[in-house]
Amino acid sequence: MKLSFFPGCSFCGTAKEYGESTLAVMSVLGHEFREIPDWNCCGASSAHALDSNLQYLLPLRNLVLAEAMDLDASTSSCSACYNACKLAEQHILAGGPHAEALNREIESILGRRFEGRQRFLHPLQVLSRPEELKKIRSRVVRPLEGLKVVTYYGCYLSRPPEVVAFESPEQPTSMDEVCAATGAEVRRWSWKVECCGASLTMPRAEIVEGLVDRLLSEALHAGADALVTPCPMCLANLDSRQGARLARKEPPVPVFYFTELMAMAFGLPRVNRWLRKRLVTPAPLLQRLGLSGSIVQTGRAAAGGGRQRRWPS
Amino acid sequence: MSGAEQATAPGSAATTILPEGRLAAEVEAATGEPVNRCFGCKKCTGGCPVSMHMDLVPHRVIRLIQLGQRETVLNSSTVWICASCRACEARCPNDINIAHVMDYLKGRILAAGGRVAESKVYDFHRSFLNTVGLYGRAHEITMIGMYKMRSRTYFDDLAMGGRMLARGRLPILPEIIRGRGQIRRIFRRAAELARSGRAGGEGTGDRR
Repeated sequence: MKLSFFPGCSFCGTAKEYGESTLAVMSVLGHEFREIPDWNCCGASSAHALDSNLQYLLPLRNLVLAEAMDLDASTSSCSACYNACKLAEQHILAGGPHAEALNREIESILGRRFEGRQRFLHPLQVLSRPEELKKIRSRVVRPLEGLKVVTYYGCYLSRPPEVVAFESPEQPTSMDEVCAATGAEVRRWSWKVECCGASLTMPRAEIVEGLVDRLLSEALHAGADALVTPCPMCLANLDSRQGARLARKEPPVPVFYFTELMAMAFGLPRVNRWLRKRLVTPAPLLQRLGLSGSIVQTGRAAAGGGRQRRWPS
Repeated sequence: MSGAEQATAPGSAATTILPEGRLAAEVEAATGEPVNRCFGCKKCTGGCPVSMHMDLVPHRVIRLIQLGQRETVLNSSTVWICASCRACEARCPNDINIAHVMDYLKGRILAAGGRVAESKVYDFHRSFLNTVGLYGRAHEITMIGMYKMRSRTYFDDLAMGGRMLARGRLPILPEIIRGRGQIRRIFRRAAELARSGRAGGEGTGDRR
């Protein structure tokens, strides 16, 4: 498929590795991603909080720019961007005076209105199709045997269900299937679509720390060694707000993007560089499982010490 | 604050509340959310991940709207603590989009220049959107700088910021889009639409 790609602001910095790994694995599977030219921020968790028109107009500009590219579909692998674009798309398609007013605004600004000729997709929607899963399995050179994970979808791919969900909003399975295709063992748990606290992480860090601690404990209780997520905000919170575990002198829990699992299984060499951006290094876990072959073992980072923060064990 | 007393301490000596329908009618008209349908099943509160940090749990906010307790509702921390995870909305048997009601109430508070019970949450959203208005994209260092100046939380998370920086997760320079004139127009028109009564929201003017 030829897909237009809306990277989202986090792919410029905090989640650069998610953007790079998404592009890398999609290209291995033969999909062509083209970046939407001059895309803008979707408004994330802030636009709707302060301005209900901005919430739709910001993503609408991207949708119009994507439509002009005339490809098979538009995508963003950032959950927040996907959510914002999907909400805007469906709001306009539902019609009514407010939708019409917004579309007129965007037309007066960009010289084009949103026609709704193509649908906005999340890459998981594409990857969880049976023929894609088959393709993933055929590309695996290093099955992730022994890696036990739970899949953590978060809010943005599931809610509001009637607008954004492309599968069961309470028990989604698309990422489970993709992770299983890489050879990892996906454990069952009940916390797939719980909230990580999102942008409360700055103004009310202690709330997020509590939510994250619960999620990590439940993941371990389910028999997992790590969490896998499709959301840059969830990963940032899960990776950086493990203070409660630290205070109890418990080992930290690593978190992966699902695309990194795919890249590891595909044997892509850049995985090492991506995983080094994590505050909680997955290196000791991967070493224990003998999966660090794709993770180049040089420098102090590989030992879990040095530049990576040393956690009490 | 009789509403708050009764709402937070239901077992205490009863204060009489005379139900008054104007607030519910206003919320229903502005948001399209049928708040009067709520029969108090408490599924919203049961599934709310942050209810323990709120002074009024979600179903109480809806009930107080039904009763017309404007002051209590608008002064509560709840509307700001809500993380918009939308679990309440997804599970409400009466199809009330509670997170949408919370967003509307934020707009009412700001439009009236009222007290923001959780000012740091507002500071965050405002700093984020101001950054987007400036560059067309978010940029963490600019946003964090603005947020710290506003909220005077200069020393929070400094160590973590350093670790993020060391791992290349906080780019020094922002990415500025070519169409930022279009973004400025989007911000301006969104505010004008809000003022002319299209949908809820405070507009984008800074209230400070």
